[in-house]
Formats: sequence, C-alpha cells, structure tokens
Amino acid sequence: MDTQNKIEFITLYEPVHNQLSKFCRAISGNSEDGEDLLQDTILNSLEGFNKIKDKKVFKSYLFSVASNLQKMKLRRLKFKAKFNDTEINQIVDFGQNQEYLTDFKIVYEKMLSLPERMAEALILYHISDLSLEEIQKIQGGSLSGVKLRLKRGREKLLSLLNTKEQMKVALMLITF
Amino acid sequence: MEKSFTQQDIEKFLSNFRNLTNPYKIEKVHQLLNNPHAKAKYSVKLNYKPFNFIIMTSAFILGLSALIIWSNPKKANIDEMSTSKKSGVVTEVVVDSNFSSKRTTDLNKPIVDNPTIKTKVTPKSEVLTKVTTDSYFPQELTTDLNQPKIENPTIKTEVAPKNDNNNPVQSVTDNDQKVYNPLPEYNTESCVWSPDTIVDKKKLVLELSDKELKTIGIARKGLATFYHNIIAGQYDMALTSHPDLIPDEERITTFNKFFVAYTTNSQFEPDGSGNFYSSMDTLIPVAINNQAGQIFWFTPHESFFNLLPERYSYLRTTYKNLICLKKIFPKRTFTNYLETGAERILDPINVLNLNKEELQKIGVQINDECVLFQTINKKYTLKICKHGTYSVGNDEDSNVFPPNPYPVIMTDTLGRRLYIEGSIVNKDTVSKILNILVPVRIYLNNIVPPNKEVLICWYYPTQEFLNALPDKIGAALKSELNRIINGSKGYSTSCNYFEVCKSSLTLNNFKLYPNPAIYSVTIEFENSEEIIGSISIVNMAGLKLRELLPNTTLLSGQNSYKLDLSGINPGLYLISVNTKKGFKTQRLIVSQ
Repeated sequence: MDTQNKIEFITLYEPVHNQLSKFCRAISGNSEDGEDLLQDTILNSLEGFNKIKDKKVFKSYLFSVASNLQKMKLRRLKFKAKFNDTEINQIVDFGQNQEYLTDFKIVYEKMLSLPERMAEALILYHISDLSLEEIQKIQGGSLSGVKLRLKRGREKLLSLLNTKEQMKVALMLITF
Repeated sequence: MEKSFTQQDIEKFLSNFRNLTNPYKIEKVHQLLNNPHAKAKYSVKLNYKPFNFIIMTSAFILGLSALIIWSNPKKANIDEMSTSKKSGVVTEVVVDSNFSSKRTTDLNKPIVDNPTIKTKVTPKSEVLTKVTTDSYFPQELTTDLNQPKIENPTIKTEVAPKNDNNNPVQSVTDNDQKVYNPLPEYNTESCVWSPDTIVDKKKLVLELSDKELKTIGIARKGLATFYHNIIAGQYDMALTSHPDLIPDEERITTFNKFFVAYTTNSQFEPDGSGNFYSSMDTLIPVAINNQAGQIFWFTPHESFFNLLPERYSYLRTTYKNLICLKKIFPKRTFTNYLETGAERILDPINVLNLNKEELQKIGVQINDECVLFQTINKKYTLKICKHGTYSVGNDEDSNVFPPNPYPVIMTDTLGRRLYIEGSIVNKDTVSKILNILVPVRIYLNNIVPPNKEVLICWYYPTQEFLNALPDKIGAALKSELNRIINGSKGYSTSCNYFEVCKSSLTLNNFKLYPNPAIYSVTIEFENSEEIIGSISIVNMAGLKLRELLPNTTLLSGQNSYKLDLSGINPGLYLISVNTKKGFKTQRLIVSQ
C-alpha cells in the first residue's frame, strides 16, 4: 500500500476512531481483546481499502469488518467474555463503589449474552453513537428491523437481569 | 433499599460506557499503519490449553533436533552462523565455554570432534520486523531523510554524553532494560550556570521549515504527522504516546537516547499523562506547524544537535548547562513556561475561596483523611480520601436533577481533568446550565499527591446553595443571576463572577454548539453592524490558548463559523469573541 493510500485511510479513519474503538472495547469484553480486535480491524480494512469504490461507505465497512472478525473469533474459540474486577474498574473508572461495580458487571455480562446481532445493535447505537441508518448498513436488513432489534434487545436485557434474585441497585452517578 | 433493575439502570449503564475515555490512542493507529508488526497479540493467551501446549512443545523439540542434525554438528565450524531462509529462522551455533581447554587452543581448526552445541533460534517474525520496518515508512520521507548525509544512519552504539569530568555517563544496556545506572556524582561548581538560572522555555521553541523538520525525522502529510527516529532507524511514536514508560531514573537521563519523549500542544500541555513537567527542562521543543499546533519534545542527544541548522548552534551549550543543573537538582524547575508566553486576554474565572466553616455550610467537610461532599438531606455523599478510596452513598432522589447543593462538575485549576456529574451528561442540560455554574476552590492538602491538591467544584446556583454562601457573595451572585436571567441590557462592570454577565458586547441569538464539543464547535450569532473581530479559546486563567478565528470581518446579520478544536485537551474553556467594541464570552466543555 502506498503512502498516498495510507494518508487517505488515516484521514477517513481519524473521525471514526473513537466510535470504532468503543465498539471494539464493548463487544470484546475486555480491553486487551478490544485492542486486538481494533488492530485486526485496521489491518484488514487497510488491506481491502483499495477495493472500496465509494469512500462514503468507509465507516460502515470498518464496523462490518470489526463485527465479522469478532464473530469469527467467537465461533473459533467458543469464547464468551469473562470479566474480572480490574477490567470493570478500567471501564467505569476508579472511584466507584463495589456495589455499582457489581451491577455494572452484571449488566455488561448479560448484554453480551444477548444474541449477537442484538448485542451488536445495542452497542452500535448506545455506546458508539451510530445512527439507525448506519447500523442498517452494517447489519443489513431493514430500518424497522434495526429499530425492532434495539427495542427487543433492551427488553430482553431487562428480563435477563430480573430473572435472578432482585439486585440491589446502586444509583451511583458520579463518574469520578 | 432493594429493587429490581429498571430500564433506567440500563440507560445509565450504557451512558456510563459511552462516556468512558477512549482507551486506545490514535497515535497507536498511526504506529500500526506504519509498522503492522507492532500489532499487539493478546489473543494468543486464549489458545493456551494443556493439550495444545504439549503438541507445541513436541513440535518445537522435533524441529530443534532436525535443525541440529541438519547443521551437522560434527563438522560445525566454530565461527559459522547459518541462516535458513526456508524455515525463517536464524541459527547461531556457539561452542560451549566448558569445552575442554586443550581444544580451545585449537579453535582455528575447522573441524571439532565433539563439541557441546547450543542453538539459539530467533523466531521468524522477529527477524522480519528488523528487516522490514523501514519499508512501511513513507518512501518519500525515507529518501529525504538521507539528505543531511549521516555516515551510518543505523548507529547502534550511541556516543554517550560526557560529564564535565570527561567520564562518559553509562547508558542502559540492551540486555537488562530494567537496570539503570545511578547518576554520577556532580558538584555545583562543575556547572557554568548558577542554580538561580531561570530560562523562558517559550523562547527556546524551535521553528523549523518543512525541509528542516524532515532532517530530524518529522514529515507532515495533510492532517497526519509522521515521526521517524532516524538514529534508531525505526518508527518511534510509541514512546511519545507512552511517556509513562520512561522510568523516573530515565527521565533525568533521557539525553542518552535520541527520540521524541513527549508531545504537547502549543501551551506545553502534554497529550497524555506522565511526568512531563519534571522532564521538560532538558527536552528540546520543536514546533510542528500542524493544524493542532503540536510541539514535539526531543531529548537533547548529541546527534540531535548535529542535525539542526546553523542558527540553532547555540542550543548545544544551553542544554549542556541545563542538563548539568538538572543532574544536580533533579526536582527543581529551571524553565518558566506558562505565564511568560501566553497572552492574557480575559480576567481569570472568579473562583470562590471559602474557609472551612463556609464550606461546611454548602455540604463540604474536610478532615485530615478525607474530603466529604454531601447534599443537605445527607442522602448523597462523595468521599475523596487519602488512600484513593472514593465512595458514594445511595440516594433514591439522586436521579432528580439537581441534587443540591452538590458539585456538578469537578476540574483542576485550569479546567482540565474534567469530571461531570452523571445526571447532567445530557448535552442539552450542559449547554443550558454551564454558564451559570459557580466554581468553588477546595484544597485537598495532605489527601492527594502534590500538584493535584486543588480541586475546583462547580455548583448549580439554586436558592439553597446561594443562601448557604456568605451573605455578601450570595447577594452578588443573586444579582448577577438576575441580570443574566432577565437579559437586562447595559451590562455593567459590576459583574464579578459570571463571564456571561461580564461580557460587554451584545450579539443576538448567540449559540455555541455542540457543547460538550469534541473535534469542532459551531458558533452562531446575529450582529447589528459590520465589525472586525476575532474568536479565541481561553483557559480558566484567562490565557489565550489559540486564536480559532483570526481578525476577520463579522458581517452584519447572521454569522456562523465552524471552529476547529483539534489539539485542545479535554476540559472547561471560554470561547471569546473580541472586537473593538467589547467582548462576549461563553463557557465551553471540550471532551474526548
């Protein structure tokens, strides 16, 4: 790949960096795997960069690559995210009380145990701040399908959370 | 209080996740693009299973045996180093040092009967990395880099700088990265400069042309800036994005190597964390002239000075003296960098200084161990304690905004290290209340490490909060708030606290969005007449960080400008429109 292409790539990539890294971080369960996924996504996208005729689709292309790589990894390793307290601490920042960390861990685990496309839609919409249309491009299907997936995802997450014993809710708001 | 999870909890979880700071720096991506071998391989650990391990070990042993047989030990030449391109490994054959002394005398003989042989295998990837690093660097740059002809660009044995007694300072060995030699002993007399010397670092910033920048390894292409360590011969951005990787001992002796130790913005505020300020005395700032106005801080290695143009030849002596002082007084600062350089265009934000009793009235209690923030109903508590354990109590009303009085935002004295109270993360709410938040200074003496001891807490000025303040301050704040809320014309100089109230320029329909802003912010206003003005971003101390829009004609009628914020660290700032007729200021949050 020549320098010109690399520069074009990085110019298109930089505005998406935050959204993509949050997506990778959230979907892979821990920061190390998240970084791995992000790097794999970048290298893979760079390889196929010349094949993209219309650079407008670059953003959805990037997310699709990340999503496919993650699915491939899950199939291969049969691995579902495991967490430890350090990991959770890294996400919610230091200073949170133990109660909140436990809640965060529970919600996060449950979110990743949702069906793949459902969890992905939730992360793309709520964590990576992508629009419904952008998610539609990445996941395929119709716009109403995406909306439905989001709605059902939230409902299912809630039902998963409340199936076990009632959890103590720590209404901890400060992100200190 | 126990209850089940609600939809609101899920929203909070998602919002908390969304607002987390990005763990992956963009510099890492630049590095990866230029050197794909730099990719971290964390996932390998997932494959480790006992069975796999046994297979891998057996395969390794078999491979090793095959190699030994193939290299035919009976006819091994002592000095031979055979390389197999097919297998992608480098095999180094070394005669064991325990080999009998009789035979060692015959080392020149090509055939040794039965030597004990050690085989050192270098993995393929490692070899490839060494060979191909350069090929990923932009070709144009690598060719240009050779212009100032360096006899041997891949110098491995660097010339260690010598101290005043002409003894070379021992450098770190490659084999044992963790062992750092203690600093040699110096005495004050050996330094030409006196310990009272203070240098204005602003005057030392190197302004180099694009061509000159290339000679020291920096190339700009559009928005991207590339840095290539021409001495080590490899891309070296990793060091710049991880200043924390430089251990304390090395921070003082960084002049033993040639690299960019830190990157900062034009106000010398470092991009990442790290102990930049303690190292900056001996680092050489080079202005990059990119859009973000970045400065790269080079280590003062001998070879760096050789690459500089003639007009900067005096720097060699300057830094020799600075290094000398720094070695004797590692914890002292000899450079005066902020106050002298930046232009003060506004009054600093007026932060309330309250004593212990007054703070107690607004719900802040300070003791030797902790600072405690509490709402009036004592249901909502935040503790900042000596041992870094911060805890928060439960409050069923905490989702009702605003929990009062309670800090909504917390920053340091310059508005950085921003912590936003969860319930107002909503962008609409922030932009509505930001301009009327009241900052209060809280000293965390003995509780947190030095340099972080002052915390500025921003309170929402509800009636309860204003009543809890000392009478004089409370009354002044109320009167200013009335002016702002009622939009009374004829702003007067009697305003002391709120910048919106202090503003002397009337611009209708003034809008600043998005707030919090990330990469850029749009400013919109209606102007009654044509006037020349500029727009700047100013920090809490009133110092101009950057002119976002240089002097231009602000048209009569609707004006709209999109202003670039790249390179501005996250924090709370002021956006100021300055004209001859006065100025208008509003607060802006820059987030990551």
